Amino acid sequence: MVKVTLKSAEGDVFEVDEELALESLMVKNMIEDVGLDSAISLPNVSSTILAKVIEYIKFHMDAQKDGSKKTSEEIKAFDDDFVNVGIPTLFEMVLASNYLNVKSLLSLTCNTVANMIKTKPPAEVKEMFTSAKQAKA
Amino acid sequence: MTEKKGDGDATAKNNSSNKVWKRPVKRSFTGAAAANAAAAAVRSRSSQKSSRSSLTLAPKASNAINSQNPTPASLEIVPDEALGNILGRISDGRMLARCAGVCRRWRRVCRQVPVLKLVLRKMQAWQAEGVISAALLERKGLRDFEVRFVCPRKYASEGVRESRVFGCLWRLSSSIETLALICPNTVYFKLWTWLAKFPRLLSLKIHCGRIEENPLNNCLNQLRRCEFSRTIIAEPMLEDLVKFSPVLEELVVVGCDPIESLALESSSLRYLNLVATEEYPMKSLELLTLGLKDLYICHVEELQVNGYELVHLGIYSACQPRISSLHHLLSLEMDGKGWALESIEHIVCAAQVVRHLVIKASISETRPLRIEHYLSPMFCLQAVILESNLLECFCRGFAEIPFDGDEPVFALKKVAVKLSEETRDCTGLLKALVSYCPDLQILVVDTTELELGNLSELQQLKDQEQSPQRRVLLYSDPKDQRLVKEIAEILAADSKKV
Repeated sequence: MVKVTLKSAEGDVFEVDEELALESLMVKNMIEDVGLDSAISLPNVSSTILAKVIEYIKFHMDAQKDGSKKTSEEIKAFDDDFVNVGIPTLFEMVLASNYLNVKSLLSLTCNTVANMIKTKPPAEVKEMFTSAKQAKA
Repeated sequence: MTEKKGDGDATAKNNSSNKVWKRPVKRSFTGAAAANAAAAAVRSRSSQKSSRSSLTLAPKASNAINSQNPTPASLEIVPDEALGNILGRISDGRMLARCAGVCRRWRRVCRQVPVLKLVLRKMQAWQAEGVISAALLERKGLRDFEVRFVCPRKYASEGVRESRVFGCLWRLSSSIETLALICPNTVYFKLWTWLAKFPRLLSLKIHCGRIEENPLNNCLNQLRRCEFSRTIIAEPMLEDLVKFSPVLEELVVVGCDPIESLALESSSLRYLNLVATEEYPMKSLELLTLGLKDLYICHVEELQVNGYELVHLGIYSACQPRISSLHHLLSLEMDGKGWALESIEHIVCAAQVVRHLVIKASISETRPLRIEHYLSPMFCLQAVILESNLLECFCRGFAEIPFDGDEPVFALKKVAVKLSEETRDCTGLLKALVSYCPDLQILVVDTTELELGNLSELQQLKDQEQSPQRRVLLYSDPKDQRLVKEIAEILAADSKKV
């Protein structure tokens, strides 16, 4: 199996199967342009987030393979658990999946955020989703 | 002219965005949406700050990650593209208006969200018209638009005027692909003239109202899906619609009256769902279609179709069919009361390769029949669900008519029957059926309609026939949710596979 080396923002190196890396359209384009020899650096993705993204893709690839015994409920439980993280992490995952162009993860995270917005009164949404500058100021 | 500047992306220069920042405040009051007014209030407090911070988005985000500082909990780190993706999933107009009030950047992104769904309640038609025009005022590149206006009964209203709705949509007509208009009482005098100006329209859904005009030639070149429900339509309209839509694949007509008789001619139609009303059943339906795959009809008295390409057929009320061939039919469902036995026989005889057969249709007159004669021609049959008094015929036939010839072998894997008082003693029939089917995996016997009494014969049957390869489910208590669910799953799984 051919391996692809991914380099996170901190400079940590992740070695993953090519098949897995191709799930990210952005990495796929990079491989087509640069080839497999050099490490692909992803300056916008931190190590923790990259590890989570890889975990997500791996799980779903395993689940899609023939002979996997995972039921749709198990997959859903995994997804629910996967996005059940702190809001900063969730936003970083949106950012990362948008940057890496992983369609399934992007739609999962975006859906989660959209549901958060839907269930909150406007004032809270305002506070929650734009509080960065106030916190810093 | 300022519109273009204001919509520039996040990397626009500071000064240009500062120039135009007052514009939304002015508009929000004219725009009539209450949420926008709130938005303006907030904006006056934080607009400059927020616009600044949104402008410097990208570098800030990467810095925060690089330096491993705890990133602030804010969507500010997310680029516009992803924010649009998130807001696009909200779709509800009211919610979106609230989101537009969060900050300038959100307002800008909200305007470009391709999906908009407006649900308007508790207001009069003229107010609804106002909300629609306000919601569409600043929008760009709208793809899916749905408006649902439920007029309260106390205002005996005419409904939203078509000219107002299309007058607002007119500006966006080049991008709209999906249009759903769910407004009762609205009368469309010029619907097709308006729609001719939507070159990319793929899907149209009209619910409630009345359509006066007939479709024009060459106006619906992209239309693939069309749905009318509870709409009063003139008879030739559907025929013209099908004739003038070269790529129409899906047509759903539910509860539209009065349609006396209908002849549809199309080579593109794949899916047709036609439900007339009980008071005004459709007298006759004639289909001249080349590629129709799914056909579901209800309250149609006479059906004439060349069913060569049909894959799924569902007839949910008594019907007199004239079907020439059903060589590709995989699933067949019949329901409703008062069927003539000949009609059922006619369909069943034509459907030789059917895999999944559901008969819930009750026939008007019962007479003894041999089940073997019915099932033998359908040599691919895998699942049968029988919930009709046809079972009574088979029971009587089993007892009264001696069967001559060899024992048949069926490929059946699943059988579900529902017993009634008349078919209480069908154990012999079931036993024979099981012996004909060596591959039978599941036998479901529904005894919920029987009065409580002696079911020992069925119990005996269960004990005899149950084996590791074969499950026999006796189902007598409708309150047993687990079993109900399990059975539904078993039976549904099969029809899905087909």
